[in-house]
Amino acid sequence: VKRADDPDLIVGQWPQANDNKIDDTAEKEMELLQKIVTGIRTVRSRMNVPPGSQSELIAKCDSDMVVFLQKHHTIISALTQTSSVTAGPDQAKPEQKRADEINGHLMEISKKLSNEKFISRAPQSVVAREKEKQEEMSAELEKVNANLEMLQ
Amino acid sequence: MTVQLEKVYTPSAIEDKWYQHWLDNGYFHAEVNPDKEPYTIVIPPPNVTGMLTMGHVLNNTIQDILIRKARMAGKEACWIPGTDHASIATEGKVVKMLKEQGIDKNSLTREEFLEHAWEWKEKYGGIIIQQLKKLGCSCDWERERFTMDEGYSKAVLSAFVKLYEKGLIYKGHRLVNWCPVSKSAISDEEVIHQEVNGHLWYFKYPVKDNDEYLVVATTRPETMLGDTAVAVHPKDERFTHLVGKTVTLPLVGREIPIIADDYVDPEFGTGCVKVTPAHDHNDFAMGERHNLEFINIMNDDASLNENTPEAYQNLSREDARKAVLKDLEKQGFLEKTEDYVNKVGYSERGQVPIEFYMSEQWFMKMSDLAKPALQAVSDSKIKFHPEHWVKTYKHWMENIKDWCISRQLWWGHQIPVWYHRENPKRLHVSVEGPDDSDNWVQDEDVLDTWASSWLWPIAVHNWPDESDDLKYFYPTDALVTGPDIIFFWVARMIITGYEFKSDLPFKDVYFTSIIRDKKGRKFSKSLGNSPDPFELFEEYGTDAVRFGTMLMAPQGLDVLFSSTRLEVGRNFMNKLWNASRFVLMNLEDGNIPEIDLDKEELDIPERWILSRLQKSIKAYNRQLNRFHFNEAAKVLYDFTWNDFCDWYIEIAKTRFYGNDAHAADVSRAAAIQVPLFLKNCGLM
Repeated sequence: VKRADDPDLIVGQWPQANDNKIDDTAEKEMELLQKIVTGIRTVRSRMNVPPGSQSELIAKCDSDMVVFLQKHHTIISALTQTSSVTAGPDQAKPEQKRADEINGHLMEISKKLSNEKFISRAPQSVVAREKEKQEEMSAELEKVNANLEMLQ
Repeated sequence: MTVQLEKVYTPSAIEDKWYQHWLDNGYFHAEVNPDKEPYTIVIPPPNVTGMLTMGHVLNNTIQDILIRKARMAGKEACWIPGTDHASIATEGKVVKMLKEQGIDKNSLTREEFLEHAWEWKEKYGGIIIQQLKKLGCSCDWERERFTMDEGYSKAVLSAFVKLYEKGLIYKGHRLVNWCPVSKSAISDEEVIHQEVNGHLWYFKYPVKDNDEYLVVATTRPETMLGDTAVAVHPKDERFTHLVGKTVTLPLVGREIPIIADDYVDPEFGTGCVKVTPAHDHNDFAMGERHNLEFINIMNDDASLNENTPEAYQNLSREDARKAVLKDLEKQGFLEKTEDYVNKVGYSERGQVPIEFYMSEQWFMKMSDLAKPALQAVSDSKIKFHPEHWVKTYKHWMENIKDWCISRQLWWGHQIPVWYHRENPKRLHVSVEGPDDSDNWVQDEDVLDTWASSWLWPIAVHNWPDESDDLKYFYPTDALVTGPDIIFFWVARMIITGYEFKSDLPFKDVYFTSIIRDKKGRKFSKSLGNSPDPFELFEEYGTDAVRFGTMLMAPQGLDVLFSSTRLEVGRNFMNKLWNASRFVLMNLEDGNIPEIDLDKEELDIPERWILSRLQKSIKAYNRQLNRFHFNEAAKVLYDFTWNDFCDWYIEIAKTRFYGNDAHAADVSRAAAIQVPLFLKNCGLM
């Protein structure tokens, strides 16, 4: 790395620190940004999100953090491959709503499947469909609960 | 316009190109410059016979960092290189070469031999200087010295004459460490003690005119031929009645006295000790106390001489031992034999057991000379890094013995003493020699090599001439050396500094680590565990080897050599290259944007990377100033790898490829600061 008018490095200037550029506020803020990026990367990795694919970021946080996330949105997005950011204090609500819905559905299915009359009378394909739905919803509930846990 | 970088980093082409460029521009040369503060390092002169080892890589990389730092910090930085004539090592090589040519050293005159030696030196000597250049050392090659060049030799002889005139040099018939291979006296420091499984033999010495006999034990049966007494402790009642009588020495028939001396431990062995004053230090002292005869029984190659019975004359010491034991047994004087683990002193050069040998040698009185040198280190005028070496130094200096400075060799500084042909007791001592040289014969011996290199910091400037160079570049600043030569060299340079210049020779001494293999063994040719630095330069790149070596060498601890660290070095160099290349590639038209970062309202990542950069510079300088080179290397590594490459470059991409042209320029201006710092940090 040499500019045309730079002296050769062997006779260049020995580096001296410029105290005016030491900026603890920026370092603190950057540290937080690094923690957020690392956190998101960890979640993606834990949830087996393929490296190339984009994910949505939902963050439950206070209003200061919302400002922070908005301020550094470009960097966070580029460094974590998150396409959109939804942040706020109530970010758990939609997830909770979905969890309640699933739980409701699962209870209904469970009732049906434990009803002997339903099992014996309904066509086999219908019973199989209910079981399939039960499995799908259980899997979704697991993910939603995991998200909820992170958003608590 | 900046210089663009090749896609792939090819160390050797780049290293060679720039080193040559620096040489061509004379960047390493220093001159007396009253406007600048001088900063001087004298290289520990490698033996002229030497080849570059990993120890040299470690040591010289550290010196290069220090000298580059000083040079770039605006000082008149002068790193003086050179080689040591290495008296005994070089003479050994020349003798070997002559032997291969069918020439026996003994068939040559001194002058003829020296002609061959100089020829050898010109042809093969000094390869290490070229090797140091390959390592990238920024020595002032115009100032290269050799400890036997003309000016240097004058300094060595001048020192001898001055000390002789002060009454500090004397000739004495003393017991010295003798190497039977090089047929020369050697210093205590050149003797390596090794444990050897041997035997303890018990002999019976019959008391004259009496039926009694005394039993003595020895690990060296052949030396009994030189016994001149048997000693017992004065209070040992078992033998009181025999003190003053004599025993007849078996095989020899000599009548020798039974003496009483406090040195004898009545609890040890039989309580009787054979006394061989000419071949043992303790016996020498007893011999002086009791006025005993000193019988030298050996030739200079440790074969037995005419002072032994004819049957043993000219036998090697090993054969003589067998013969003596056989004869003692045959004649009923061998009482018993026991297994015994013995510590035997070996000659470092000759690789054979040394002898204690009576010979006429030159000695230097050291106790007064050592005083100011001891004081300087005790008062921290000279600082040792790591500090624990101060204790070792003080212990040695407080117990310093007279130094045997003469060697029975030809390659070296011939002692500047002449004996008058008609009256050899009349001496002439001078640098130039007597005017009527035909009437005089010069002493045959040369000086111990260390009696020349101990003047290195002043003799490189042709002391005793008071040149401007000497005034400006002395005292030097830092000395970087191995702890194994703390007495051989470091202590003695401090002595000459105070004796001849009334000032310290250097302010800081950094003792390097000893590099060992993974199993903790010292590198050695015979073990074949010492890597060839040139193969490593080829495989990893010289900068990678330098950087990796710095990473693996914590102050004060031995280094376990690992090629993994060199891989870390290589990866780091590649990372540095790629990061710099990335930044350069993203400069518009190759130009660094004209942006004053001080006046810009910077975003957090730019403020952060510039802040981290300042802190890293501070940490780097702090570690170098306290001679913690591995910590300094780690600062560079962590900052470059973690802060810059893992974070800032990733962030910078969002600027470079984003829509805000000004933000991109600001980021470019910030990003370029890091490669600019790294290129100027002197480590690579």
